[in-house]
Amino acid sequence: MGLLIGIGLALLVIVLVLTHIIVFIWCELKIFAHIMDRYGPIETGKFHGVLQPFADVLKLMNKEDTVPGASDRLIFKVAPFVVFVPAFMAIGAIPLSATLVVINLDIGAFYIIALSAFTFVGMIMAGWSSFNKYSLLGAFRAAGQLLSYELPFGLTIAGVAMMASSLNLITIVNKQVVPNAFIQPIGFLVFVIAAEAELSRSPFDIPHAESEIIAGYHIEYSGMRWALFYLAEYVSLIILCSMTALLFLGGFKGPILPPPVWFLLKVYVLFFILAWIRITFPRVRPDQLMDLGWKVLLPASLLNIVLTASIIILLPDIWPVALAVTEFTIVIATLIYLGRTRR
Amino acid sequence: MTVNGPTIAFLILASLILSAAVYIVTTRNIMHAVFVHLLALSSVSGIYILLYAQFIAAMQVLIYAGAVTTMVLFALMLVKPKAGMEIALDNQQKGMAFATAGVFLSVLLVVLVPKVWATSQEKLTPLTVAKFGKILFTKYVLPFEMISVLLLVALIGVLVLASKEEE
Repeated sequence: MGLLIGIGLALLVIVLVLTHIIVFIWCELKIFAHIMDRYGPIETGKFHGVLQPFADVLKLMNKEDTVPGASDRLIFKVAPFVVFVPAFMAIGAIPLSATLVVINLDIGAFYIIALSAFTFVGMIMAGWSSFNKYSLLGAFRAAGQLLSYELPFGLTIAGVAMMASSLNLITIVNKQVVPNAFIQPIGFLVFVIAAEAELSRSPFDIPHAESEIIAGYHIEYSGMRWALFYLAEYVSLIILCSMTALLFLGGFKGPILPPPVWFLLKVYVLFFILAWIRITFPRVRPDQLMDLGWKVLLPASLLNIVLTASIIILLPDIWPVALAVTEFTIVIATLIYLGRTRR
Repeated sequence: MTVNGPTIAFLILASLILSAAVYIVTTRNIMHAVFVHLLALSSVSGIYILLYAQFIAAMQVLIYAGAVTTMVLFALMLVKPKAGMEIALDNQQKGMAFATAGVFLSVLLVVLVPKVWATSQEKLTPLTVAKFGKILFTKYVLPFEMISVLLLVALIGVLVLASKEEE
């Protein structure tokens, strides 16, 4: 009986997430279009093309599932699942409120990062097994980028975990009187930039830069197998928006409205900001990407950890205020310095 | 041995790990070996979960399944232009290999077979991160620091080797 309830809940979560993805895709099409001063989808489904994502899904389902003759068939077929299944597994650890969570893990935040490790290997599997030079290049770019940005990403989570003295996402949210973004602005900025890179969305869309390597690691995929990669990307988008909301923006906490509503509102706002960034920034070069990851974000995240740890130990009574003042001073000083030199 | 959920899960995981291990050493396609290695490593993290060690399971996935597998793939593709082609994995050291493996096997048999394993009646409690951290930084702080130094040495060694090649 417990097993059946579990399966039912899992299906419910999957349906919820897929619905969100479909709505997100339509919203993104519209946001991109309006930022670029055009209409976007307008015909399908009468009202502003709301049925466009459904039409896309139907089209993808009907497409032939081609497997290149020269490919490594088994690995080629398995790769989309290695990317897709862990992405969905991570959803289960995200709490919508203090009680509404599928699995309340002691290591919640860490569990989600750990599962993302499968993504690299899945991408390399896809890129290598296609036996296509562009897809192999894309797979390497993806693995290099994701591995480099995993470090600052994980280290900023360590900074948050130190403040809450827990990795449990619900505890982290409950301990935030003021959203962590106002106490650890360095950690917040590093986390958002690293998350954007982990998603390999523009400006960090080097792994599938269309003008350079066509489509990257999933170049040979079609139909539903390609759709699995696409879905996995959006699931990761939802996960990273949720993580940002939970770790830095007070998660499901907020006045008047019920907790799940607050949480979803924060996720939607973050989604909008990420879409905005995606459409307005040009793509960085691979060397700029590595410079940013290893020479800026990694030292910044280490500085964040050192500052957090030392201030918590040295000033146990007023550490949130002291930490906020220190970090904001550093951020503002850096911005002024950059503003003066980049003229 | 009673048949219950954990036992069934353990048997499935153990057979996955063992068959993956056998496949890794018998296959001629080195890329397949790496991908099946991933399966073995993730199954090991399943065993950790059965032992209530969630944090170590997540670490196993992050470090071994993620980083180590990716590093192995990078190394393979950088040194072999046609990674994944069927290659002869034999060399002239078969005799030596059999002798070493034989010695190791006999040592294991002598040590392990006569031993009666003690079973604890204590109920397993989940190993929380807080408990794990406390143990790591009090009782096992020396081994922990030793490993840090070892990794630092390896890191510096890599830097030295890499900078030599550039000259």
